[in-house]
Amino acid sequence: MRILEAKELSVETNGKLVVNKVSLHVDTGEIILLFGPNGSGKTSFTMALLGHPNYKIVGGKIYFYGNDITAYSLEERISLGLTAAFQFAPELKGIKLGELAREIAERHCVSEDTLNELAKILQIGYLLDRYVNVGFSGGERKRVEIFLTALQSPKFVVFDEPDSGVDRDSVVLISKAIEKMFELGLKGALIITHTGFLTKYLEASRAYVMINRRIVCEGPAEIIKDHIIKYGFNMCVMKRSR
Amino acid sequence: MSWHNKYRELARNALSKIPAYGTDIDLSQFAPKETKGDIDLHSISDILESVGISVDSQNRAGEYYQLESIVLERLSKTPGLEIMSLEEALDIYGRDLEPYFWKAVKVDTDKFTAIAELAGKGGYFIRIKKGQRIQIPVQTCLLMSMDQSLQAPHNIVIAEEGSEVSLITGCAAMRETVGLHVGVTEIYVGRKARVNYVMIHRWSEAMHIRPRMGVIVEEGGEYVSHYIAFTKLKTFQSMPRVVLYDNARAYLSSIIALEGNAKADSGYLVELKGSGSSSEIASRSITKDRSEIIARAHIVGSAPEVRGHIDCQGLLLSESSRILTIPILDAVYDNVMLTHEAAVGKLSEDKIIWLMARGFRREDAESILVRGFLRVDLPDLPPVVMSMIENTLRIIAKSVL
Repeated sequence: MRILEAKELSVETNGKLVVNKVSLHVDTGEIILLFGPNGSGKTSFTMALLGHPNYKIVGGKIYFYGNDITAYSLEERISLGLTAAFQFAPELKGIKLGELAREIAERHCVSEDTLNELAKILQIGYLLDRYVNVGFSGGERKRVEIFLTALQSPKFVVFDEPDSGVDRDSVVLISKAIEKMFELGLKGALIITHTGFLTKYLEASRAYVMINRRIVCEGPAEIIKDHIIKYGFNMCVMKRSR
Repeated sequence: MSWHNKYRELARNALSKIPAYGTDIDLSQFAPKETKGDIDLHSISDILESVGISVDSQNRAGEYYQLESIVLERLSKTPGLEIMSLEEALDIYGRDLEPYFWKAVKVDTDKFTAIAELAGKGGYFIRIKKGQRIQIPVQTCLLMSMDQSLQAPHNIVIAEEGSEVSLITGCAAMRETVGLHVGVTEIYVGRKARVNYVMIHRWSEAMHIRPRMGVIVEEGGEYVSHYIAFTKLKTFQSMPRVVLYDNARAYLSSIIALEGNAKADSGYLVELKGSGSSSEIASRSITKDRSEIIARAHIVGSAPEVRGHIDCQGLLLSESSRILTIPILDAVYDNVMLTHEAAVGKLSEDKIIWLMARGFRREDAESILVRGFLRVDLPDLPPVVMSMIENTLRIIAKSVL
């Protein structure tokens, strides 16, 4: 079953086109990778899927479980079970991680046991009494972002660069947590990545490559990843032009 | 009491003295009011609880209630703790009280201290005897309900050597009134004693508030103060002066959240007079509608190896409100360390969106951010005081949005 589908999606922010006719889909049980260099439009695409009010959809459609959600607000999309784990989560001075985690879990009927289990998998128990992301390392921030996203018990998540700037141990923990999310009800995921590190520990089925606001190629995740590692992102552009 | 006359004379000469900060007020519009004092406190328990006052007085070591100029109740439930009205204390102790009478606050500071001496009634006298460490808080409550009323109690707190106490003072208007509240409070923290002082104000739209406060902390003593004012009022001005002697410490925080046309000029003056003394001032200001806050903080370091830090943060919740922060560091000795940080702005849209992505509605996301903004790290307060403060902050976070 198709969970999410973007059809010919074009997005503007501050009057500038940042996503150009992007089409992409994710089916039940799939983990899909989205590769692309910095500034290619991956995060803008994520924000548009999420319904961020500063990212205006100027063309195309978004479908979630077959329903057209293009005009839905951020709140409406979140309530359907669609969300994103941000590349750069903010610092929340004065808000303790444990307090926020419990509030999110309560809202989404996630038990205390599950909360504790996720905290254990991601090894963040020692951070629960600290203010959210204040003074956290890069790896801690990424693990905390996955933790809080998991507590929403979402159906579909865009993970925006969960493996960027983190050590190998954190990548292993994050991949275990994503596996756990599938056990808890996650139906599909789109993982934005530069390197595909996570695929050492998680099996992705397909991959897309986004360059200069467009999807320039797609194919089996392992093949795309290997080509990018060997030849860089331009490989896709060349292949397409042939 | 002949010794008392000199203070009345000083006060008479200062009756026209315009305050150093804040809006001037015509005192002739206000006068002390008498009431029957037959109020049922349970009928206003919501108001009282919002300013930290527990009506059934469980978990309280003692209490003092004053409505307008009438003392409703004063009661100590703990050995080593004295609670009475100032008039009673003057009758009992007479001139023995003079070392604590208008010493931390000068009677001729301005017209407000002067009117408190000349026309004020009531005020609590609290003494914690040497070495007594009282683990549960004492609560005091000052209420107003009548129009054109002046409430000007003179409060004196004496924490003797090695003693410890937590005081919760809740001041509130029971209904919409036009009034002037001038609470004078002098706190004397003895050698190696500790006073935790929490004051919560909740007034009405047409009230003028002019607390006058002075604190003297002797060698090795500690003073922790947490001031919270929220909802509406007309004008507010206060600049407590805290004097610290050798190795004494003070942590002073204030949270002021205003709405409507309220105007506040608030801050602390800390004088680090003893070597090794230290202080931190943290202020959190929130404005909405057309309200304005001037947040001052002034530390003077005049002894060796003193440390002081100012942390002023402001949050504007409307386009027509204003926050002005004025931190002043004054070093008059060479090896002092005085620092400050300040920031004023509005709620971060990026943080709101991120919280919404975590499943919160916009108003809940804003409330979480306001709650975080209001939180200041308070050192080692008793759990019952901490939970009372957190409860009040939750009320503020909801009420300001």
